Amino acid sequence: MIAGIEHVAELIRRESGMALGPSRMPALAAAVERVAPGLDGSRVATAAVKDRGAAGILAQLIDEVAVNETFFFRHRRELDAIDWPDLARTAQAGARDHVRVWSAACASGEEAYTLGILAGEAFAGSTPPVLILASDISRRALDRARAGIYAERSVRQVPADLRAKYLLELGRGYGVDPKLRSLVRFQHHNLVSGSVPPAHESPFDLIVCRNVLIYFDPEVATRVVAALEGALAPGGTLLLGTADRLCGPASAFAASPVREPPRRTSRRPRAHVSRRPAKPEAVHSGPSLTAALKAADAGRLGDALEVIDAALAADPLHSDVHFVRGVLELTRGDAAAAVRALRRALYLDPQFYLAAFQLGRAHDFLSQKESARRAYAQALRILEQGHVERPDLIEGLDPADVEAACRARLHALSPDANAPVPERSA
Amino acid sequence: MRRVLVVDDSLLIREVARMSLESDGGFVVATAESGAQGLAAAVADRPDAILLDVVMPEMDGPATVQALRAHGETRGIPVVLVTGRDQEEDRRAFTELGVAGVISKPFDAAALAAQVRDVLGWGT
Repeated sequence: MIAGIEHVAELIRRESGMALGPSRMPALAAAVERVAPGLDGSRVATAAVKDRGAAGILAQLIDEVAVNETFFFRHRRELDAIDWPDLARTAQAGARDHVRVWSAACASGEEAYTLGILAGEAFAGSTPPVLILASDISRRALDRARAGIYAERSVRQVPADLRAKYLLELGRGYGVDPKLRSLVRFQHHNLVSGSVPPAHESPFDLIVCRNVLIYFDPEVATRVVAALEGALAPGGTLLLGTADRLCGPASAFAASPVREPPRRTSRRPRAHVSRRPAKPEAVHSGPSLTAALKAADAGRLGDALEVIDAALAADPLHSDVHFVRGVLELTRGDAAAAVRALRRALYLDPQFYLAAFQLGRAHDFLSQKESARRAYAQALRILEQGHVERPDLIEGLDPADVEAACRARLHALSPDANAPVPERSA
Repeated sequence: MRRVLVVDDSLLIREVARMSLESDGGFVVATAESGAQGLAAAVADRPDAILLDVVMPEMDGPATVQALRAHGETRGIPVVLVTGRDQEEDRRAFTELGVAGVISKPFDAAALAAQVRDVLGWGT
């Protein structure tokens, strides 16, 4: 291992928000060997601080370690929640001629082009009235995105009719049709250290940010979400991935334990943030939880907690109710109370991986790193053992996403040196 | 069922108007992206009303109104101008064109169908 590699990791964390834990160190060391052969970590860190340009050492290292594996129509259900007619109305109300979309972590372009395809299907005419800005921290990924050429594996989830319409078969792969290509503009951007929205960009009607927050520290994730909400035009929509919601600000999770589409917040005039209403009939655990979640959704956390207390008085052994209590406490900022409630949920149902994950987050908020690490590890263990028999509280939540979030947090925290958490193979 | 022709060079405006008029008004909507296309569509299809953008390249709204009035088949079709130009003098000039009404841009998509009905006296 390269001496002083942790200095390089810290520099990358500060620059990009990507927290690289011990299990990523070999990959980082290999990247350092490629970018700056023969230098130790301290010297690389010093050189990187001096050379922060587009082709500098730091940018090259970020390119090397950025996680950007993705494909067309990834987590389609999240994207199907986009209400394109509503976005068009929002743009028209703002006297704009196009719906302005920002794919804020586009990696190699698959998400941005997918958004273009969905817009193309939503509107009549050959070219939808949509302009998509696609940005990423990795210049290498952006080069691939601009090229717009993909292997069969990347387009495997594109339905055949859409593939024929928007992609060109190139023998051993697929190219993006020029009309689709013309909808998307690619640009380098750093969500953590760059301005949000990017310089010279006006507000957006839709911002999509998925599979990014899981790699950030909680406070960085919270700050990024707030900045993204601030980059929305009045009436605009922020679409976070299901897994990202688990890692964003506590408020992002308040209305989640109901079966509903991914979180969408709308920025109304004066930056009021509204939520989709909860769907009472769809709640998993009965009328009390429904009432509590509705109250939480309306911002009445005190009322929600009263309902939960009443439910617990009637049935103190209900793990779901303790879980929701924990989420509500986390939402109102009482992480210590959240820890107590989530521990009870886990005590009553030791296989409740979401409770373990949220317990990790509650400890994270209290800066109790070791406890947080233990809770994330417990969630991971439950998931790895396949003991996920209970119906998930959140429709559309892929346990693999929670697993990825657990791993990301474990990487970010200082783990027990004897128990490095292995990476999930891609 | 009422048939409405929307003429606007902005695809976004055409789409928003079409969706609103179809879903909220129950109208059958056709669209055209220029004055010339709009005129041809009006002659061919004789819609019950035309929503017409004012600022368009080549043949603008007022020129399109004059062309519609010059055609026997389209002379009687009521025209509603949709425009961001809503100063008093603009409105006076539009009224002199003999249009049925003027709707301001940006419009309230949720209220567009009701506004069109109101301007044209179509009732509900």
